[in-house]
Amino acid sequence: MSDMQEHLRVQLETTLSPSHLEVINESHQHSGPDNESHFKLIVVSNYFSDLKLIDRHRFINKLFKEELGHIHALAMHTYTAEEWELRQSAPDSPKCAGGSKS
Amino acid sequence: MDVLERIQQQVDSAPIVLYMKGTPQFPQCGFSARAAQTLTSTGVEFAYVNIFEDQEVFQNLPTFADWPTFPQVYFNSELVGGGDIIIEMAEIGSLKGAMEEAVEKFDNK
Repeated sequence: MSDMQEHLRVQLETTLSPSHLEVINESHQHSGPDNESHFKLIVVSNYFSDLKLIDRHRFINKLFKEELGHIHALAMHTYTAEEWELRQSAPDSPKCAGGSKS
Repeated sequence: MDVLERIQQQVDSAPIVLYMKGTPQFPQCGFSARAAQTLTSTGVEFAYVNIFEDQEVFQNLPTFADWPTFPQVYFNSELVGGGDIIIEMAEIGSLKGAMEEAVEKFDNK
C-alpha cells in the first residue's frame, strides 16, 4: 500500500468513522511515472446523512485540500449506510482519455 | 472584466454549463469525457467551456467555485458537482429531470 493511500485511509477513518471504506490507488490506469496520482474513495458513513452529495464532496475536498495539490485525481463516492445497503458498489472510474495527463 | 466576472457571466449564460478538459467530441481527460457523455445521454442540451483553451479560467475556476477539480457542472449558475456527482445522479435517475428543470427555470427567468 502506498504512503498516500495509507494517509488518505487514516484521515478518513479518523474523521468520518466509516462503516465501509475503500481507498483504491488507480494510478496504474493512467500514463505517466507517478504511481500516486489517481485515487478513488468509497466512503460509507452516517455522518453524510444530512448532507447533499455536493456537500459530502466539499467536506472531503476540504479535508484533503493540501493533498489535492499533489494528487491528480480523487474520485469519490459517498454513501450513508442505508444507501450502501441498497447498492453495495460504486461506479467504476474512467480510463484516461488520452491527451494531456498533466 | 476580471476573470471571476467572466466566469460568472459564463455560468449565467446558459441553464447548464460544463467546464471540462477538451470538448465533448474530443475530451482530454477520462473524467471530463464521462461527464460530457453522461450529460449528452439525457438528450438535454448543455453548454461547455474547454478549460484548456482558457488558461485564466482554468486557473481561477477552483477559487470561484471553492471546488478544486475538473470537470465542474453548473445548473443555473450554481455548482451541482464534479463528474462523480453527475454519474451518481444519472444512476439514481435524477439527472435528466434536474437538467430539464434547470432549462425550464432558465427560460422563465
